[in-house]
Amino acid sequence: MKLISCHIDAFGKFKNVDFVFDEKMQVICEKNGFGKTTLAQFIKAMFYSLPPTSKRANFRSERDLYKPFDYDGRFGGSLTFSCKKGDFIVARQFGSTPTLDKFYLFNAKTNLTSNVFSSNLGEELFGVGKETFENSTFFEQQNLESGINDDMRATLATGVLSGDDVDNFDHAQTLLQKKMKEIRADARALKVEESEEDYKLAKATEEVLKIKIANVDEDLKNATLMQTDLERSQKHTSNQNANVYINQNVALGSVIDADKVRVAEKMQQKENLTRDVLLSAEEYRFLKNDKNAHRGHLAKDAMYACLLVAILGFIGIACGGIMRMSIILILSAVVTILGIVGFVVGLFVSRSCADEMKKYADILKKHSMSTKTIKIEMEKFEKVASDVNFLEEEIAKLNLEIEKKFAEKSVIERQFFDIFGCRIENFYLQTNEKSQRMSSIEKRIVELQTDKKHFTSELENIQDKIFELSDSLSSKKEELVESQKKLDVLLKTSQILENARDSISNRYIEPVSDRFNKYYKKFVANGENVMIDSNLDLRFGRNFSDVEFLSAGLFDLVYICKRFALVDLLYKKEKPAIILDDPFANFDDEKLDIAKKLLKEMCEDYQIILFTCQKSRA
Amino acid sequence: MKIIQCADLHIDSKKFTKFTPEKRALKRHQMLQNFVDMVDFAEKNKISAILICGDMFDESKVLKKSLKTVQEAILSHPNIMFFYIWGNHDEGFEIFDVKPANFVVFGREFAKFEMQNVCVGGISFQRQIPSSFYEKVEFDKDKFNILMMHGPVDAGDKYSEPVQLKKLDHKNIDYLALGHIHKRDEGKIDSRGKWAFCGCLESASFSYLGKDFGFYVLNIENGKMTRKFVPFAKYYYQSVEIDVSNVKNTSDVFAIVNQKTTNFGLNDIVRIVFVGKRKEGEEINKNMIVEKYANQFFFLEILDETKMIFDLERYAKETLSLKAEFIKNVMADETLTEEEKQQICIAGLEALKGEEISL
Repeated sequence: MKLISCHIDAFGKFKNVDFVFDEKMQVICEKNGFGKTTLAQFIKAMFYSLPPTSKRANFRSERDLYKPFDYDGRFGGSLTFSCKKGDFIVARQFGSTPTLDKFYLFNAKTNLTSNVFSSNLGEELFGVGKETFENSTFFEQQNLESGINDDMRATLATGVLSGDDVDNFDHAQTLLQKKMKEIRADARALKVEESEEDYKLAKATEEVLKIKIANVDEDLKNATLMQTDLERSQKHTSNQNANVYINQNVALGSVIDADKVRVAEKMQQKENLTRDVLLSAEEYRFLKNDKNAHRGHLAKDAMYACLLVAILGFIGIACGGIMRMSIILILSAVVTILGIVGFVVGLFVSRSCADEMKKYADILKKHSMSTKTIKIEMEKFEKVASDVNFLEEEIAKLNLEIEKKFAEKSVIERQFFDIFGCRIENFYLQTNEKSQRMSSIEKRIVELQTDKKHFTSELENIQDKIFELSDSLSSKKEELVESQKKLDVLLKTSQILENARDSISNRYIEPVSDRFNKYYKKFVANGENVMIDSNLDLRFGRNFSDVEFLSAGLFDLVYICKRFALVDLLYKKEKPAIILDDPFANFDDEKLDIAKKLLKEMCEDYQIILFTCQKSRA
Repeated sequence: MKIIQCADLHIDSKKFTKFTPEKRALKRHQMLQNFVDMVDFAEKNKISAILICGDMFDESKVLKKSLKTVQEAILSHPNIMFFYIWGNHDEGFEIFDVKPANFVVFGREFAKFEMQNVCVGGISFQRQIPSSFYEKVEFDKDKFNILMMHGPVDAGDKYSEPVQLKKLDHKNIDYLALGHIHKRDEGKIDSRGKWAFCGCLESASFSYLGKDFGFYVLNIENGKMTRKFVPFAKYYYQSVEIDVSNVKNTSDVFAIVNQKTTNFGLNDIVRIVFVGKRKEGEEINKNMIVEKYANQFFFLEILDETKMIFDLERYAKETLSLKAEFIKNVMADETLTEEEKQQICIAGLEALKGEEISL
């Protein structure tokens, strides 16, 4: 392929500019800022179009970079070239997006539109993609390093492989990936995780329901026990049974009350009888029965009588002495002695009965009575005493009867309490409470039974759901295992296919290495060996040092040689024009001379377009 | 007196994972319906008792409606006695909270039940039946004695030890009604009695093929028994093997499939197994076969057990062919099984040819 000429309508800084290219080597030696790189990019854009506008803020694509500064709707141009299929003019106008781009191809001889190539001109013409083109024929001084991509690897391998295998590799991988994607999508569509979650949730719900049912059962058991207890208690303590006790108790109470009334009446009668009697029964008994007081009074009276006798006797003695009548004297002395003795005895006796006499005196004093009136009072007392005694006996009898009835009543009440668990007076209150409790328990049991029925129904439903989920989950899991097996097979297929491709691709190392050395040895006849791996990475010297450590000139040299080697091997359909954007800037004079010679040799096979800003490098 | 012997109904089985949810439900429903239909059969044929020799349910968790259906079938036939023992699948399963009078479950201890001149005894499944059971087994020699058990007879399996027939020798057993093995089988216990598996009511896997599934009707008269097998399955597992070694193209495959499945219909669960050897390029498009026949059967499964033969000698000579390199790499990979090698080769070749991957 040879570039013939180009016309730039508008591209970067160029506007309405024409270039004509020499068939073998075109040197464009212009000052910095002329637009050499822009022209080089224009040529590439004519073959490979321009990538879309970058969406990244910090990156500008070629479409952004080369859009004319004063864009007036024109952005593009045309390129005339010759190739094995003839001479053509490609014209492109670039829009804001690739879809708005316009592509035209004309036969350069007839000026008629041609369909020999589509807008995918670069790939169709050279058989390599844009990236490969950039990494091989497009020599930028600032960007000489180039790696290897799948396209380049495939293209290189084409040289050593037979048939369409390598072309098919990518398609085969695409098919395998597509199949894997489908299987993964199908596996995802199974929603196994979702089903597992549903299953776990259903199981958890089942557990909760079981606990709820167990709790309801427990409550139901307790409620039923309470109901049974209450029923039993009600059965034993029926009102009929209770009434027997209650009636007996009430009857006894009535009898006791009646007896109490009678006692009160008797007491009243007794009080009425004894109202006019001053003496109490005790006083009366004292007065009636006590001899000492009487004896004391007698002794006191006798004592005074004896004292009088003694005094009279003494007078008699005096008289007898005066009269000297011994008989009188003797008689008086006897009387006196007797009087004194009597006095002493009376005094002793009265003293010994002093308490009784005092009590007697107190009674008299209390009732303002005299010895005479007291007798009347005693007679009065004696008169009502028999009636009072009768009444008291009656009262005592009644009280005895009351006590007896009380005892009986107590027994009944105790028995009642033992049987019915409450006091008689509380019985009806408690019966009412029990009835209310029973009704409440019955209501609670009904509620619990309803709850149980509800929970059981829910449990059955959730168990059915668990059954369905488990069934569905087993099926899905089996499907998932199958999918996984298939994926495994496809992954292994893809991997082995790639290994096979690599294993074959590695065979291009040798031709690349040969080509590289062919160029490299022209510059460095006795230079150190350069090793090229299957990724086309270069290593230098015996220690396989990274080329990064080489001098700038040598560094550029090895990459230029690699690119020449790649150009030799990659382009089977059409030999491309090699566009050199001042790649020898770092070369010393010796290497520059060699480079110039090499280009002269190469321009026999390739059209060379060399851009430079120094005449020495032109 | 007529008695039905059935076993291994596996109601509510979850085995049918490859079926669509609808067909799984349908198959499950049929296995339940079989029981109902069998009870109706019993009613119509004046059967006195049904012996369910284990694995009535596939597991102890069953659908509410299934349990209800079984309960209703039993309760609505009070004139038929149902004797039930648990199998290894439904061990300990209680069908009724309160057992009706016509339902007898033989638990883990030997028990028996007399009906006129027939005595039915049984013991439920246990991994290892205690030796005391064999000592306790005792029947009146003047009656016709049936013993129900669940387990294998010849040798144990992963579920249980075998039933020890020798220990049942001279126990006056006339008929040992067995469950567990899904195929019909029978043999002698001693000079008096015989044992028999009636098989399952309906197959639930490709392990048991054909239509020969149902139950036995035992007719006992004057101490003598005659027996008749009643096929009862509604869905049949069928498997056909097709050797494709000499088959040239897909239409030939269709022709053979047509011929081999001509008697199969919508009640058949069909597995087509392709066997034989085929050369590279002789493809069997399983998807096409499924597409063509799937609607003709209840379920269709295609298994490709063919062995693809690769011309390794030719590939060994091709040093620059990606296909050859790929095949050689696959064949040399010792980590792959033969089946994987086949699958990888086929998938890889299909991909390299730009065809849809049939895996």
